[in-house]
Amino acid sequence: MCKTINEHKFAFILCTNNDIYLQECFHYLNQLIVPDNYEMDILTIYDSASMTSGYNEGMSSTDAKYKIYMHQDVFIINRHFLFDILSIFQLDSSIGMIGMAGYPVVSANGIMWHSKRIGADPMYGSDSNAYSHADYRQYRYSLSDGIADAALIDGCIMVTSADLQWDDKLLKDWDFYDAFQSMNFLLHGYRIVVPTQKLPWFVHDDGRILSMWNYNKYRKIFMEKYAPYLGKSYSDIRKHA
Amino acid sequence: MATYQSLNELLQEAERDFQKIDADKSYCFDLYKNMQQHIDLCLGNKQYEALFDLLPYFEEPDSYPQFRNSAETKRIHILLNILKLELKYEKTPFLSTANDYSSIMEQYLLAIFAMRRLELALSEEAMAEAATYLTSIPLTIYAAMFISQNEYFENYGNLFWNLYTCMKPFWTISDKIQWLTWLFERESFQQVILELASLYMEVHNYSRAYQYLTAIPSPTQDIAALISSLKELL
Repeated sequence: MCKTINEHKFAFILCTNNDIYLQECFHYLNQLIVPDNYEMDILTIYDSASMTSGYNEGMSSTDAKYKIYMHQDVFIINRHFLFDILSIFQLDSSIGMIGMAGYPVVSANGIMWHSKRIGADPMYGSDSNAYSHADYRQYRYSLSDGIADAALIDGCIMVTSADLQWDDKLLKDWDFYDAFQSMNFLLHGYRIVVPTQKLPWFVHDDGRILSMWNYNKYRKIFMEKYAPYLGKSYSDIRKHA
Repeated sequence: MATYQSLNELLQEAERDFQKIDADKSYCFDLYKNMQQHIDLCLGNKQYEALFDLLPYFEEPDSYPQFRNSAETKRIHILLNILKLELKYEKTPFLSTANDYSSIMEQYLLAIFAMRRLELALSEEAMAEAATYLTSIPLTIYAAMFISQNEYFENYGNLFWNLYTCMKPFWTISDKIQWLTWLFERESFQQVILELASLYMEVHNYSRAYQYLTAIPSPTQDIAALISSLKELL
């Protein structure tokens, strides 16, 4: 059945297994300013079998054009986030996905962060004092701050304006869904972009440690499925769309 | 980022690292379960010293490298470090209101969240809620310091000052001096200097108060007058 898309709606889609994180995540989502004539919905998927199946469930249960797939331990601190992603999508209709941190090149070993990073400042939380006395209440992003194209984006926040199925056949856990979905968007001809963030738009409260227990299994599947694109940039990959 | 002689070297190194993680996985999960049981027992019986039995798991990194791959185990280590200082300086421990592993982890997370609200200062209401929570738990300066150093925080000026403002009625004068001294070492803005000088005057340490006040680059008339009267006193 064909669903009518609501062009004036945002849906946040979260897979969750922890109410403490979820409530704090809601605290920040509820502080976001919603543009006039737009509405915002929050969909939480409890005890999903995998990130991809949870996201597919969320995707099919909303009519929102703009979907924000995010982790329960991500807190959006840019209160104008919805305005900002809207302005980026309106810039170019071929932009299908926006990330907060990304990589213009797919690294040869499949490990995202072995490639040059763009977007969210990797120094955040590293004791650099880079944002000391920053005024988060007054901060506004402007398109003139810039966007940059990416091949892959980090899964902590993935914003889409088009619906493509998440690969829940191959991905049965919580790893690599971001890299697979990025490739999916690029190979469907969409641009993936990352805004320049003069102040951080979010905090990812993962304890400054990434869980790596199942990572290698999916890294190998990724390297096999996307072997021709390893070491390639977003522009090389989009040529194959 | 590391540099590699060849692509093959990069691929081999990644493979070696992942093989190690795979090999450690089940052992690490079992150990983590045992640690939780030990913490349940110690907190249930208020036997805080016995918690230090867990320290070797963290402080012998060659024997237990798998702990680097878990935020939970990292947080247990942080809690042990906090407790060490709290017992040494005879403070009510941060974990003393918790009866088991899950309640201390919940308290730890809520403390991070509240501190972050103070750091970001996005709304007065959010800050007031944060202050209410933080003053309801035994948040020592050691807990506040370890959490701020080991979790995601960046805006230390805001965090330290706003936290100081909310904890001021609950911390001792020496705690307050210690906290502001840490802040002063990072950022010496005027509010901090004035507060430190005032605290030192409260404990009659006029020479330290004078020392801090003279660090103000362009003192107002009132401050200049205070500096000169302190100078006379000394």
